[in-house]
Amino acid sequence: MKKSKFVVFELLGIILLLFLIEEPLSAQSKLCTITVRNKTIVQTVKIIEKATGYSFFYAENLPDLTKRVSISVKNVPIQLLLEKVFKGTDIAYKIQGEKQIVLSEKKKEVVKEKQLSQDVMPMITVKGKVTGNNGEPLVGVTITTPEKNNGTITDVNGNYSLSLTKKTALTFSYIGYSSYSVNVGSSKLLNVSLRENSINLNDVVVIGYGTQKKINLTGAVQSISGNDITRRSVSNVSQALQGIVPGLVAVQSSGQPGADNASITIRGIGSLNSSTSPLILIDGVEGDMNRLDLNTIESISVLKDAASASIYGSRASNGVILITTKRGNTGDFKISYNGYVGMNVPTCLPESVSAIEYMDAINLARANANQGPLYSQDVIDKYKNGEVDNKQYYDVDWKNEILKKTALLQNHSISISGGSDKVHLFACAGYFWQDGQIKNNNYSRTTLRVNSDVKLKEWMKVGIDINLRQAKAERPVMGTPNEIIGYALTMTPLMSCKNNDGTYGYGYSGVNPLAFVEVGGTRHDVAPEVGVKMFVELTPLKGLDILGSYSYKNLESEVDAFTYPYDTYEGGVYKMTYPSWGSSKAEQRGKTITKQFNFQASYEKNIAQHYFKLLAGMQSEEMNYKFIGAGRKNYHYPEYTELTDGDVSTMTNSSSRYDWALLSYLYRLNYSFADRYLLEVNGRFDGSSRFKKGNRWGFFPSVSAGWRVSEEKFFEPLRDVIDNLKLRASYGELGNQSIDGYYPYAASIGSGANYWFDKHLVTGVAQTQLANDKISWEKSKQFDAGLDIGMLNSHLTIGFDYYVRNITNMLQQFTVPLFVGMTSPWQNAGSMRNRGWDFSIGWKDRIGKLNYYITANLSDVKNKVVDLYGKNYIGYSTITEEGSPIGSYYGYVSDGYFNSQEEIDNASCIYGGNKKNIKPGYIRYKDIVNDDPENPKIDSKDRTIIGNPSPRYNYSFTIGGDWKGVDFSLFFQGVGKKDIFYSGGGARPLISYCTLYKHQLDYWTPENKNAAYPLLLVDATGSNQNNIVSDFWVKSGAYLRLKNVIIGYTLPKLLTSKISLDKVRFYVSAQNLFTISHCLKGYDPENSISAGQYYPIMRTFNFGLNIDF
Amino acid sequence: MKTNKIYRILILVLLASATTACSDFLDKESYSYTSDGFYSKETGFKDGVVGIYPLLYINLNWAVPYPAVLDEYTPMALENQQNSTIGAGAGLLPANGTVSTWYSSWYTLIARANSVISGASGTIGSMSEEAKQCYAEARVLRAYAYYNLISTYGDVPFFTAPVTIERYNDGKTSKVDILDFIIKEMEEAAPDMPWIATQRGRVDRSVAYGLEARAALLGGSLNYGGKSKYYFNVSANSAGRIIGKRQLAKNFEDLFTLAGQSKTDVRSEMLFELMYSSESTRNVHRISKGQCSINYGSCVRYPSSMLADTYECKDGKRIDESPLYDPHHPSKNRDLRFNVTLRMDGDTVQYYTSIGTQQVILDGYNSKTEFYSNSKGWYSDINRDISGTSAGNSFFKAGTGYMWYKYGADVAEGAEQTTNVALMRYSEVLLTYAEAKIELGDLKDSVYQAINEVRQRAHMPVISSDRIGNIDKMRQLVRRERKVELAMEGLHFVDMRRWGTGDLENEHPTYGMPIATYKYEGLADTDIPNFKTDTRHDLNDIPSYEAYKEKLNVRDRNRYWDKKFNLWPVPQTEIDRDSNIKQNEGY
Repeated sequence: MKKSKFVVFELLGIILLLFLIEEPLSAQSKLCTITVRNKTIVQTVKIIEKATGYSFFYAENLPDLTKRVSISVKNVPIQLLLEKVFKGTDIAYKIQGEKQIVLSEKKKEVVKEKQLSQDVMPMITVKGKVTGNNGEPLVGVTITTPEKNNGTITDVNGNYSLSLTKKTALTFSYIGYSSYSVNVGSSKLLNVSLRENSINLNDVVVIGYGTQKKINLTGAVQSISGNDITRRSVSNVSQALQGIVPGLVAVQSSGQPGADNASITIRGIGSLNSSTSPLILIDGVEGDMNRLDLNTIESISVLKDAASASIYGSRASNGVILITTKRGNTGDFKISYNGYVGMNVPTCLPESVSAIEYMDAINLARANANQGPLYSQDVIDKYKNGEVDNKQYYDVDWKNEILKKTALLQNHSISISGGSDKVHLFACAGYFWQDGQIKNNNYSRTTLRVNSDVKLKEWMKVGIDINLRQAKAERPVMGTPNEIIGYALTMTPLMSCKNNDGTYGYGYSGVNPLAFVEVGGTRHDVAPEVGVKMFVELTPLKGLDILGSYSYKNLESEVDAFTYPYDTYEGGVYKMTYPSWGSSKAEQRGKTITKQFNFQASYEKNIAQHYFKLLAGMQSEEMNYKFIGAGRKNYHYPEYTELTDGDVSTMTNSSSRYDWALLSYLYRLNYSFADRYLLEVNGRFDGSSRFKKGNRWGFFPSVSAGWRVSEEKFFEPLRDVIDNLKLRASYGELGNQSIDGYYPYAASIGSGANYWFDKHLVTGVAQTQLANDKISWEKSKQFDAGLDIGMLNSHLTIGFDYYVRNITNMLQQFTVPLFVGMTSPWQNAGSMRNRGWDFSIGWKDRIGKLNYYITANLSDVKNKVVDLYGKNYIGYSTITEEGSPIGSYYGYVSDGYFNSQEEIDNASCIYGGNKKNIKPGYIRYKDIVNDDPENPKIDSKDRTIIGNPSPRYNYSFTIGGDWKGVDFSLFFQGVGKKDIFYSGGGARPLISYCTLYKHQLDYWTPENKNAAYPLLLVDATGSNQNNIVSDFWVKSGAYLRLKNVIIGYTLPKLLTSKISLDKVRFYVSAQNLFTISHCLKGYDPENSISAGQYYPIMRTFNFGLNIDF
Repeated sequence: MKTNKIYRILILVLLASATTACSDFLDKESYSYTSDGFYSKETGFKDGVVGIYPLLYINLNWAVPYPAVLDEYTPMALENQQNSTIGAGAGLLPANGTVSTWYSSWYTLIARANSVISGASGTIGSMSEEAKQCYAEARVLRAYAYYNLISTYGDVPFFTAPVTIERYNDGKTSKVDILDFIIKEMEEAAPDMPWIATQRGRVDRSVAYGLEARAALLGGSLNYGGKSKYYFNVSANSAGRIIGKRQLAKNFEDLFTLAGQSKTDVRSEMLFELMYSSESTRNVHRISKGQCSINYGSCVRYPSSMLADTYECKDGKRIDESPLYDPHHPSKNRDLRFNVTLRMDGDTVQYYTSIGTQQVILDGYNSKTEFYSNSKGWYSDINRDISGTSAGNSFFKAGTGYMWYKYGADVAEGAEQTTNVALMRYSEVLLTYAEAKIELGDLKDSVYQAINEVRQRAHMPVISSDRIGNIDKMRQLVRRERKVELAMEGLHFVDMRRWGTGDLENEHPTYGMPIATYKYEGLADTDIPNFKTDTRHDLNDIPSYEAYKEKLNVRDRNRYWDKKFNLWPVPQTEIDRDSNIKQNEGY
């Protein structure tokens, strides 16, 4: 009962809101008799149009269009009405012709026509038309002379006419466009085309719990438009974010359909054990961005520094990504289709040796270990004589058998957007399908999103957003795709795949990946998601904005897998049925319900040059998870695969569940003076169910300030060159609580420790983890200083941020000695620091009809573990210790090979101690710590840091543009510094029963001392001393790749309008076209290669079509 | 207009009231049992004791139960990859996964036992007899873990209660103290349990005393704390208490088959077993999967010639002394246990296929051999142990010509078997009793009786008269019996170290069957291993093949012994985490 009370309140509030409707609008009357209450200028203008018959012309990006006015006039002339409407705004109006009113931005320099000096005789009258990028007439462009005593604005057709007394220069300026100056010659016709400006002073950026004008931002916030996201036609949002935000690192480590999303970190790894991924909010509700149809995205804001993120408190320590979906606007409904079909090819794959090469290699490796040959000359000769019969003698190219050459994908998305005065609607239906690189492996995603806004009252708006999604993935039951591809890349050519009689081979002890994908059965994963969000927005007073919202999300996961065993044969002899336990069926159902309630109010006020805004709010979030699974074995009739068809004595079931809740109170205060000095203060109180009472609540404050230097008087002389210069600084505290487990404070005893007494399973229980009931928030404190510059009429934009991020009270499980026998408890201890900078630069210009842009990003972050109480974490190949970057590679240092017996004899000591154990061709290791000169040895103390897996100097650059309907862009992306440690099968030749690759034939021999690999040896267990963790196996992971290329063509308007279409664009794009790197041959530098088991990264070619109508 | 304002205020009040959430909104409770006092109540405690048992399934290698893996760390058994066999290649390294798994697995068991024992220690007095029995079981399991640790690593960290943070930097405790703890614990715990557990798989009084005997034998042999004699006495005494309470199975082969294990005499001999089952979700092991003929399975583990040649001939004499031994047919006239444990060239074995049971005649030399199926009768087909691409791994080519057969007779289950795997048998108790007594020089009748009981069950002659009263000859016999009786059961792992025979066993490369030029037929009648290179070799039945080695297959050419191998290295991870733990000498 304890939860229900709260829910009741939430619902009550919302239901009441929905039913409280005010009486109808006070209406219109006769000519120039108008009552308008708290309406925006746009709305007011529409009312005036209806009431008076005048038409208004204005640019949609005029300032103050959304400003609200209240007017009540009776029988007044139009001028008086307009005067009242635009009083106190930055809008100038001009009545033109019969019934036209042109609106423009007010400028001090603009001299009204009536002020024109009448005593000077006009010498020249210049006429012309001002147009925009696409030739459309610009209405209300201001035209001035340097003398500032003359000027005009363009009419509804973009035409102007100006009388001049002498030859002079004309400056054309228009909001949102770069101003343009030209000397008036003898020509009396002067047509001008203006370019859109990259910096729009009214650009609004979505920030936490609201929006902010870009120019007034004081934090490090990066905004990306939906167009930038869809343009690259990749399968999910995380991939689309790669390389476009400095300081945001997205690494796509797998190419598996449905699992190919990139993992994202903002400004370095922010935690040892707690989550390191940013908080992702979709319209304010936490969600998985990779489940979105990219075409539904309006914009993405990345909140990088603590001040911007701290309004999200305990969950924002790794930054926040705010995704806003599209909403409908007033106007005709627009339909647009966006789709592409494409194909995937792995970027690269290693190449295995043939059977003969393999046998020779094994025999040589055995000879190198003083062992006799494994394959007799007799057998090898049979291969040489072409006696491979696929019955006794096999020579299998596993990669060829398992991996497809190409795989297809397609994406279709159709959306409708528009609305009347009172109802706005956006709807988008999308379908994405991608085939896998192996048989029986694909992924599809069907999405439907409907965002609707209804204006019930002038002061009340409600909205309902519905989001439906269905994701389906298919893959073989036996083995994950990674494992299957791993087998395909590492199984030896002598293992039998498919016999000449069509039966399956015995493979690797029965494991036959071809049988896995062909007959082993399919695992179906279905993940339906239903999300509903309702909100009510009230503006009862001017400047007061109240928002209440409630969202409910139900994410389910269903797994249905039936395993069909297959028989294996080798040499015509039945070997075994795999898996040996026969047929089996598993079904699983998981359900995650997330509920979020949000209430906030903000009030803003201008007093003279002072501007205040106060926001306060609360939020509650609750998550419930339930899982149930069941299975049976021994199905007698393979065509009947229901759970209940299986052998009843083999039935199993399992279940689990957990709950989690977060309650928060937040506030923000903005103050600015003359748009020049900006200040923002944030704070949030968070309480989490993960911690016990007393340690539960955390407070996360922040402050940030900005100074728009370019607005200062003293800056005026420079403004011709630098049109925008802003300095920013911020400091804030954030929390992190996202550790594994939902009850880390409680030591629990779990079931499942069962034993088979008398051959019957008997229930047992066990405690496996130690607990600490005192744990609380992990904290992150971040300082950020930044600089934004716009130069040369904003052709050139530069952004730079420097930051220091201190992570303290780290939630960690200090490794306990093995003798403790349980997993260690969580505790708050230790600290680390990320120090870095983000830099971006952009240039935008035009040469003739070619518009082009170049942007480049570069960022770096250096991680250093500051305090671990003198402890460290040493893993198989990594160490986390004080003074070094987190998870550094840790191992021995190699020093080439022992090239002769003499070198071995002369060595003061060798790894392992016994010189008889090694021979020339072995890797030589360095004795770094020599603490006992009497008895030198290479032991664990000689391990040191041998690399840093975290990428540094992430960079990207884009060149793009358009020319007569042709658009193009080239996107390069790369990492300047990174280390990769390779281990396991595939990376090392002949390890763990794996094969070797062609390039690994470059092994050490007395004749080939500069070999890439040491003396060839068979190493079944990976304990061979050449294969211990050492810098020999650390390669550079730096790379530069042409991530994306697009060439598109938009049909000319003339053509498309004939077939009643707004826009038709075709394009081709390619992803990962080429790469330069020095990592291990056959591997992609972005792929994470886990002992040869991985899904290759794909090179993708897409052919796409956009149609708007 | 007025009502409008009221509405607006009402809405605000309602929304604001929604923000004052209940304080218990954030109280979420785990659905698992909380550990607070859980074990102090009888039901929780008993379930907790059950929860210790599954930790016995230590997986060192491919779901092969650990006893079968341990003997590969002696020259009695080999892995196909020669450099992972002890002394043959790089040897054991502190970073080796097995070294770490073996160590941490036992400490996990100890931690679980400690939390159950500590949890119940305050209330156990008021619990039922059954609960007290469980309490004793937990103590036996914990002691068993400590025995495995000290026998492998020597001195180790030692805790009898959950390890608190203050003790994370503890160093090692002397193995002698730990052994004394084991002895004391078993003395206290044993009486609370029946001689034979009512639920098969649980430890009982016999296991407690058996463990005490086994552990004390280790202390005696290695002269722990200079108290060799004391420990041998403890060992003999504990083992002696079990004698008569349990009995040997009638047939040796019954011990390792499913059908045999269901008999009561086998139940009596099997003091302690790892339990497997074909019921419901099944619990299986793969002990035989990796030690078959390539004609029907795969092969990665092999017995050594040294083991095969230790089996006496039927006349009770070692092969170099028995007239019955025929080097052309080594399996003829041998101890029955030879054929239960091993197979070789010329033997017929059964195997399971999708169409029923088939047979194959193992052939170490020819590229074709004979197969039998019900439908086809006998037919000749390719012999994949010799020909074909996987042949290189067969026990003929990569091993010594002998194939493991213990636990291998149950063909119907294929690769995934559900036979229980012995951790302690009554025959070991008898031999431990005898060995301790012999070491004490106390050659009573009961010593001869114990050994004879084991030998007679295998249809071997009773102890020959020349051994009676002769300590050395009795020591030789009891060691021989342990090897042949308990092969592949993981005991030689400790025995080799107790007897200090590592240097002898690792002295030479591993020799196998005759090479193809000679075959068994081509050996001279005198090509018999020499056990008498010196008295130590003779005493420990260590053969030398030096005289005719060029006629034999050879592997492990670099076999060597380093005295550090008497202990395993402490896992590197442990030393990294607790600097007060010092590495064992030599590593």
